[in-house]
Amino acid sequence: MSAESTKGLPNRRDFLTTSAAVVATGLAAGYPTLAAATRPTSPEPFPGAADATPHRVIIDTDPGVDDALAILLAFRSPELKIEALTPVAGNVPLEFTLPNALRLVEIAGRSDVPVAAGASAPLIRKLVTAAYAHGENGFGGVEFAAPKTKPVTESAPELIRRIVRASPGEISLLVLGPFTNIALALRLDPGLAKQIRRIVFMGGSLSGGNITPSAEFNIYVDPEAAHIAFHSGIPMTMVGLDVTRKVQLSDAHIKAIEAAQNPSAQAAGRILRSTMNRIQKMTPGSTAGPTMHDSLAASVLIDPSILTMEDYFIDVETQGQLTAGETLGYKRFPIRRSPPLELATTPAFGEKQATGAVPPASEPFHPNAQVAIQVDTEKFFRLLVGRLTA
Amino acid sequence: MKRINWVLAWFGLGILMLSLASASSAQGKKRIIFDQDASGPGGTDMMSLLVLLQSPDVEVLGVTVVTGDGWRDEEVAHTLRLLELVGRTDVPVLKGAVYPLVRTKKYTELWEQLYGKATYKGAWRANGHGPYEIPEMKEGKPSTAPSSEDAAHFLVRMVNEHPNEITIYAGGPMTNLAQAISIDEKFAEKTRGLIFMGGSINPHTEVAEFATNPRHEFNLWFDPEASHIMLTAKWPSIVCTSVDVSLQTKFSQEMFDEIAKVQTPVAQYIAKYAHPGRGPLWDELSAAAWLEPSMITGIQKSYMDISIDHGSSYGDVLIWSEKVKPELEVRMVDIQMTVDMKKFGDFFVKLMTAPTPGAKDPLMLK
Repeated sequence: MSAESTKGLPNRRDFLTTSAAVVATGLAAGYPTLAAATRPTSPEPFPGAADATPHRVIIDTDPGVDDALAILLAFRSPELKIEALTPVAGNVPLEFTLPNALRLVEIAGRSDVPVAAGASAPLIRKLVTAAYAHGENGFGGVEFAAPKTKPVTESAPELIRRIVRASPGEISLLVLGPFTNIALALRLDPGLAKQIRRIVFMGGSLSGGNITPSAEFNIYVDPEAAHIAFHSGIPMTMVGLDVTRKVQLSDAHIKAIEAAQNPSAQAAGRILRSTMNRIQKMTPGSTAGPTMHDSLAASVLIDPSILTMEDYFIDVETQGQLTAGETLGYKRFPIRRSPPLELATTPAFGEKQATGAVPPASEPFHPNAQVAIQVDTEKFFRLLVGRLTA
Repeated sequence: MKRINWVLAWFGLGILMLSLASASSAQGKKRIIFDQDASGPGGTDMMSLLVLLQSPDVEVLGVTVVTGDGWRDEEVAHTLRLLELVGRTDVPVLKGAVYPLVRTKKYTELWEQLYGKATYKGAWRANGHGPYEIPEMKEGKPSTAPSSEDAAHFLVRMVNEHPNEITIYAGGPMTNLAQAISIDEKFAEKTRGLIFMGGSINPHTEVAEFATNPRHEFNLWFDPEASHIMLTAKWPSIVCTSVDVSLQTKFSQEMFDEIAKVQTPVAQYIAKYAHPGRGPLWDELSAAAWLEPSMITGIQKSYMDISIDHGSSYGDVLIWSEKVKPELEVRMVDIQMTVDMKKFGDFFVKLMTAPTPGAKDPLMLK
C-alpha cells in the first residue's frame, strides 16, 4: 500500500518516505484513507480543441521574465480569453510590475484588457524581491518604452471581484506571483470563493524550495496570503517547482523565438536573450536557459495533457522561523501538526494522547489541490515556442 | 531680498491653500470616518457613534462596519436602524470585513486548548450564531440599505478625495483599516490621524478579561495581524483609548436619568436601549476625548505593537519606552491613561440631551 502510493512519483525527497510511514500509523489508528486521493488524475476538463468556448481567465502576476512569457503565450492562445491583468509586488516591486504588465498588453496588441494595480506589499510581511533573477526592472534589464496605456482606477482586488461576480463560476485565476491580491479579494468579499471556477498557480513545491531549502519564492513572499487561498475552498491546480524546474529553455529555443517577426516573439526574444546572458555570467559554462515556471502554469489551461496531476491537501507553513512559505502535501487523513510543547490533560480531538492539534478523526479528508507531478517537456516547449512564433 | 519675497509668497500661498482646504469641508467641520464593530441596540458601539453625530462641529463621512462584538451583517443592521431612528440616514454605512485576516474561530479554539480560555470572544461567543444571521432586533429592522462599496475601498477613496483632512476612528478590530492599508500603502499617511479604542497596558482590575492577562484586549486580539498592520502604518498621529482609562468610566444611573427625561430621538433611544451600570463607556470616551481632549488627565507616550507570534502571547499588546524599544519601525502612540470622569460625564450628558444636528425625519418618536 505504502509502496503503491509512491509509485510514479520520481524526484521526490524524503517527504514521500515519511508520508508512507504516516499512512501506516494512520491505518493502525483506524483513520479513514481516501484511495481516490492517491490516484493520479488529469485536470478538470479544461476546454480544449473539442470545446470552442475559450476559458475565461484573470492573470494575477508580478512580471517578471517568466511571467512575461506566460502572458504573451496566454494572449496568443485562442483557448483562453484574458479578462484582466492584476499586477502585484513580488519578483520586483509594484512600481515595475504595474508598468511591465501595461507594456505586455501593448506588446500583445491587447490594450483593451484592463490592468489594475494590486498590492505593493505582502499582507503582513515586508516585501522580498527576486531582482537577482529578473533584473532590477523585472525584464532581465531589457528596456521597453514607457507604456501609453493606463491602469484602470479600480484596485486589483476590486476588479477581480467585479469580473468574477458578473460571471459566477466561469472565471479562473492564473496566479503567477504571491497570493496577496487574491487573499485581499477573498477577505473583502467572503462569498467570492464559491464563484471562482479554479485557481491555477505557479508556486510551491513538494520537493524542496528555491528561495530557501523549503520554500518556493511566490509562497515564501506572502505565506499568509497563500494560506488564505488554500483554505478558501476554491479548487486549486498547483504547478510547482516539482515540474517547473524541469523546463529550462535552450539556446535553440531562444533562437527560434528570436527569428520570429511578430512583436510578442521579438519582445520575448530580447528578454530571454538578456536573461540567458545573465545566467551565463553568473554560472559560466551553463547551457541551460531561463526556467519557464509561469508559462508552464499557463500551459495547463491550454493543453492539460502536458502535465500529470495528483490530488493532495496542500497547506502552507506560516509559523516557521526557517520554513515559512513551505508547502506541505497531505495525501490522506490525519493532517498532523507539530506536537504540542505541553501535555494537555484532556486528549485533544479524539486522540488517545496529545499528539498535536489535529482535527477530529471523523472529519473527511478533502484534497484541495491537484498538484502537477510530471511534465512532458517536449510537448510544453512545442506549445510555447510554437505559439510565440506562429 | 528677492529670495525672502519668494519665501513670503510661498508662505502666503500656503495660507491661502490651507484656508481653501478648510473652507471646502462642510462648514469647516472636523471630518471623521467611524470604523466600528457596531453591535446594538444601545451599548458602547452605538453610543460612541451618537457622540460624533451629536457634535455640531463634526462631519461623519461614513460608518465602516467590521465583525467584532457581533457579526458584520447584524452590526450593519443595528447601525442603519440607529441612523433611521435619529434621522441621520444621510450618513453612509459600509460593509467591511466578516472575518479577521488570519485568525479563525477554529484556530482560536485549538489555541485555547493549549493556552487557556479567552474570556470574551465577541461574535465567536459560545452561545453565538452564524455570520450572516440577523437575530430579532429589539429596535426594529432597518428599511434603509448599506452602500454597495466595501469599507476598505470607501476608506481609501475618502482619504484620497480629502487628503490630510480625515481622522479615522476605530472602535473595533482593525481588519478594515488593514485592508485599506494593503490596497493603498499611503492610506495612513493621507489621513489626519488615528484614534482607536483598544489595548490594555497595566490596568489594576478584577474584571475577568484583564485580571489574569492585563495585556490582552479584545479589539486588538481579535485580528492580531490587522492590529500589527495598523500600529506599524505611518499615521500622522495615533491616539489610543486604553482599557486602563476606559475602566475609570461608568454610565451612572444619574447620567442615564438625566438623559432619559429629555424628549429627543437620541435621548429616547438611549432611554429605551441603553443600560446604566453595565460597563465602562469604552468607545464613547474615545470619541468624546477627540472632541474635548482636556477631559484626559494623563497620557503615556509609548511605542506600541501587537504580538503576532502564534504562541501564548498571540494578540497581546507590546509596549516599549524610548530606551528599550527594538530596532524596528515601531511607532509612538499617545495612550490615554487617566480621565476626569466628572468632565467626561457632563460632556456626554450635554451631547446626548442636545438636538441632533442635520436630523431629518427621525423615526424614534413616531
